[in-house]
Amino acid sequence: MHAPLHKVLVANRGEIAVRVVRACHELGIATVAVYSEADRSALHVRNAGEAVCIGPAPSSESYLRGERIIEAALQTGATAIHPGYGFLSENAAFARMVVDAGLVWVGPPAAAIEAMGSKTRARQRMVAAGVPVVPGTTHAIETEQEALTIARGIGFPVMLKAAGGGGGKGIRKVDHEDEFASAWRSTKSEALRSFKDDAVYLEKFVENPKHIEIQVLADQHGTCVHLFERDCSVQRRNQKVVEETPCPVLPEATRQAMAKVAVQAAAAVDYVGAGTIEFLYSQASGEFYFLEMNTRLQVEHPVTEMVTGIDLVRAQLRIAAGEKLWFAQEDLRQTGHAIEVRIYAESPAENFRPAPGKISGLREPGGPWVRVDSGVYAGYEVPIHYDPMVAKLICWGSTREEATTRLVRALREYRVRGIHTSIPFLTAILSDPEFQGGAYSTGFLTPDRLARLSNAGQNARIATIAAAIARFEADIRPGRPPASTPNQSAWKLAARPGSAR
Amino acid sequence: MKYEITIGETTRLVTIERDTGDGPATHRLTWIETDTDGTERNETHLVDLLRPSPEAFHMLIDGESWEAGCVASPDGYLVDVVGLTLAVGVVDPRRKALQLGVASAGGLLSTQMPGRIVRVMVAVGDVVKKGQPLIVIEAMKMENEMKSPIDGTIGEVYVSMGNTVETGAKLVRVDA
Repeated sequence: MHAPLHKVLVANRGEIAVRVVRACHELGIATVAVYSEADRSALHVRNAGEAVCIGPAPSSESYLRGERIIEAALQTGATAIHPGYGFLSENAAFARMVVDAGLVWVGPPAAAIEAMGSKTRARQRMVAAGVPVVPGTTHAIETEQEALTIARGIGFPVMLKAAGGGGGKGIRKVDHEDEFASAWRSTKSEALRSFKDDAVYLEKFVENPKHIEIQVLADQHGTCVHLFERDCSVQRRNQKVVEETPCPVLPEATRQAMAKVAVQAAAAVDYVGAGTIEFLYSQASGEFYFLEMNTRLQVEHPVTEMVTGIDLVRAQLRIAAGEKLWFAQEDLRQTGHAIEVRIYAESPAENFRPAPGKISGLREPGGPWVRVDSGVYAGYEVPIHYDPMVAKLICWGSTREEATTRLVRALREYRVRGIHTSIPFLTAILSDPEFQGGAYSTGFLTPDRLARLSNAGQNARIATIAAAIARFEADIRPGRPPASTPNQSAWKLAARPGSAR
Repeated sequence: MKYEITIGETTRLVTIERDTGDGPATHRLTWIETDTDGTERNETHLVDLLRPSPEAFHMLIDGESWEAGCVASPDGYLVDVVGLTLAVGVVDPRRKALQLGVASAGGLLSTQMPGRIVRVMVAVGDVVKKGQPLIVIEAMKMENEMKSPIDGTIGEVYVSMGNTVETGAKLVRVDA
């Protein structure tokens, strides 16, 4: 049925590799996983049809080695490569190498990745296409004096941004003119260090914005549709923590206008496949501004799938196989509400320190409209080398309140034994009145709130009781966990099955 | 039996025994709980324990249903309750009395997470302050500073740049 996609190599790891493998298998497509030496035991290796080791643990020697990955594809007879997100997904040179090797690239054309890859070039393209951008420069600024003049023109506070930046690095807010000189120098040097490019541009700082993004899908035949918005305003260190759709406070007219602009932006770069256009939205003024385009699948894509019924990874594969979009814009609806939380192997109460280690026990939540996209299993050792995200939990509800309460319920059911996770922190966020009000902005996690929520959910007395019993049993029956306890009365034995219901 | 059970800054001295009463309880625990306003009161709990596997505890605590996981750690247990994993220190006061004579207290810095040593910021003989960063460990693309537990002088450095360390590994000894 999908002849060009007979066998797909998934150039990624963790939960997203598992997600892509699932979509392939549902379409009858064979799969090849790649893995580093540290990932022999990873779930994506177990789920895929075949697996090829591509190098040592560091990403730079495995998951980022494009030529080795292409070699693995050719060697296993794969006909296409799906990059997932992160790693090589937005690397135009790799996309080109894949195509040059005679393989299908499950993603946008290299030219579209390039057009959106540099923030300054993307801004220029968007301004030319009539897309609103945050007031500021569309080009890298040469001198500090020139930058200061522009900053005075648009008014403080302003943001200094590295043109090649991303992931929250190379961004600095400048509140006053007298901080400008030092901020200019440190942004430039950080840009050079992190991105090997010291080009810096400048934007107006939008107070308390919401981060809202529009999902688009475009086929190879010139049709592009949007799949509505996602609100990703709960962020810590510029990393998304909770994502939901619809945005609880977005007026319908603004949603329509934003979606129209997103489709324009995608068309302006001849986009193909799944992509996301990110906007800043000011609740005070009702204005929205283009931020950047992510030319790949997003971590938070499941919430869109839950409200539209469209499997985005399946759509990526069908589009890459050359199919025309099989639905029109007017066929798409946002039904109900979906929320996703990202579960990290980290310890919120200890300043979010990473918590790799062995998961000795795992019980994932279930029930209606609960989805777990996970990259781990009981007995798995979360390695120290990669991103700490181990799973995503997504819930759907007919209303936002129903989705929220379902997600809280599911988080309370979730059992991860042996490592620390962000589960209690996420539960606390969802229970916070400001989150529940829906008008929260990217400034939601203030230091105070972060301190409060990251220490929430301690059942210290229950933990005390459990630890005391564990030690007591170990001390009186060393080397043997007590399956049954001695000196039980017949009454207790009779009562036992009842307590195990 | 009595144990000192520590979670964060709070230590409770817990007395535990088998329950021999007629009810379904298997254990009886008592301790003195200090409330946030400083008042003290006795707490007693009757627990009916079911242990489907060595690490899985199902407890009916005074009739309330609670689940916990207990995984042994170097100084006690990692205990998870409703999704939150807590490091719980457990000390037998009798054994502590024996150990005190041997080891100098408080000055040993060890790691709570596995990772790779990316910086060693002190050498033997350096004078350090409590809270001063001594070692930087990288795990999961994040750098984490390991800080001195006390004021003192560096007595020994157990690791060097590039080493991979496991949870509980000794990093530095600081002598008071």
